[in-house]
Amino acid sequence: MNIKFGFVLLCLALLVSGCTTVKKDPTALPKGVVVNKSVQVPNPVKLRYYIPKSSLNSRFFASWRGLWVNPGQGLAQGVDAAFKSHFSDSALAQFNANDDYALLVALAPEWKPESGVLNFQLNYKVFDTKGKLLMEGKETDKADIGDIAQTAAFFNTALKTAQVISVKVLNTLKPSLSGFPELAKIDQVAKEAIADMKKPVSTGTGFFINKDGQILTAAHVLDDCLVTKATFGQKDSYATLSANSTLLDTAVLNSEFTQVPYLPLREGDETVVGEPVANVGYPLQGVLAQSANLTRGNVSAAEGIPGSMGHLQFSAPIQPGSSGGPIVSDGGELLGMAVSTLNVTNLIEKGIVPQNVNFALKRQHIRRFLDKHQIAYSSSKPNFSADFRTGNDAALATVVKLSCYQ
Amino acid sequence: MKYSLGLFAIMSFAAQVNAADLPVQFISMFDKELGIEEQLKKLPQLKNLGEEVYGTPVKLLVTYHDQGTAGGDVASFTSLMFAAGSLGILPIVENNDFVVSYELRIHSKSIANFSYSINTTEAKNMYTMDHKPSKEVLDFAKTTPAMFAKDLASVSAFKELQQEYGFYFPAK
Repeated sequence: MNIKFGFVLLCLALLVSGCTTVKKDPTALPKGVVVNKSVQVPNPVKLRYYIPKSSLNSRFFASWRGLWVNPGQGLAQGVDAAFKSHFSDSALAQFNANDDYALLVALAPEWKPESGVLNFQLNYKVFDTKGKLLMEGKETDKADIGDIAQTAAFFNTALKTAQVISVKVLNTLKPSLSGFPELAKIDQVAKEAIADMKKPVSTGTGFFINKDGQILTAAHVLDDCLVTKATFGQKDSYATLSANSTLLDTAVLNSEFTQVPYLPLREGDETVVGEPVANVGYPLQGVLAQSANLTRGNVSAAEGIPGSMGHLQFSAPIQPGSSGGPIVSDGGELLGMAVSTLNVTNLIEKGIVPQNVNFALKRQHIRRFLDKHQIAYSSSKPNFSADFRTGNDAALATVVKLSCYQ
Repeated sequence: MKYSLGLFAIMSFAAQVNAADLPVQFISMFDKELGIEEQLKKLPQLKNLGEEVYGTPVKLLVTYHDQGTAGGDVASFTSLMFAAGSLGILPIVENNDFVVSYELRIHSKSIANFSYSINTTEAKNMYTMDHKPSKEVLDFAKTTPAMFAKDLASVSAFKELQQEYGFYFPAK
């Protein structure tokens, strides 16, 4: 009886330990992967690698374990360990004026978990300081998801694939300080070459604030974009950040558009509760029409919810992608900019279904933001007698679709 | 459009915070009775800390978890085997780090993250095991606001947010 019981316990122990994935040793290369003897390791050539922020920040709550799981953390650690074992000066690319490189490896990871197995693909492109593409390809691996809390599966797949890429770079390019003597600034890199420009990771809305093509939008629309494209009518333009405030969730972009129609800010600070407003945006791109969507409603309240910063509440329906859209009076004056909506999920769990509760940053805070950053804008007196079509036309004529690429 | 508002109760259109103190929403796994929020509110930077300022983009999350230690995992597993083998007569001995984390976020972006931990060893009966924090770790948790206060003073991003808030929403 005791022997049988002990045997069962032993099997259970083996089963439990078999399910737990442990992190692999970064100094041990996968089977069949060998660095050519002619290549110097650790290699002194300055290598920087790029991983999209959306992958690095990837995080989800595993409710069955009651904890947060960070695939991005395992990815970052795995890739870092792989390159560091071969290149003495390797790091994640920081897009600022202080960082430079001799070799740049742009990585694009993809995870596909299925029934306990994690399938992983790491696409890569290698660039020199002139932006010339030297190598490209993809590496794949799979691992048991195992103990998800330790993120070992994410680490191991990232480590193995990055190790293979690192060895391919070494064996193919044979990097040396004499072969790659130049350094280039990371922030001078043509970001369109690095980012995946086939499909935006997100879209949002903006609108022209002056005739020089400067675009006002919500700052979160631009979160972690490597490249931002503005679409006005049928034309595209790259857009670059001119000013932003994370606190107010507001940003201004420069674009290549000029002599464009723009929205004036209404003079004064008063918010007229009940005033009809139009909102224009590019919500749910890929689901709804590619053209701008216009919705109408009213200013529902002069303030937002407790703790909000400079908000008014309005009832014109908005959807994901509407952020950064203008809230325009019938007279065609800018009253605010759509920034958020109620998170209905939590309320629905309480049996409450809110309707048309959306928030916009009020114009007086937009004005203060523009003044602070010396960005040109115009003002106009309120026109309460205008036909609603005046406001609709003004909003439609000035709105811009923003696409974010990483 | 991001759903930036996390509401857990019905909203009310109370007056917007327009004082010079940056509103920070307090979200914690600990019971209110532990007094962590009250301790934090005494800090000059967190005067406007509260659970009900739902609309602010600035959140302070205070969470805790047990983190296994290398020796603790082995001891725990071995004692689990003994406990199972003795049908529960022998206790399960656990050794973990109890970690209290403070995370400051703005619009879901983390700007500061500090963790404080204490190593604990507990003997538990396999039939009466619960996962509630013990008195020892709760006493430790009560000491963490003071440690966080020290660390918060060095967070330049938070100072900048306070200054920016003062610029856009000056005290009346």
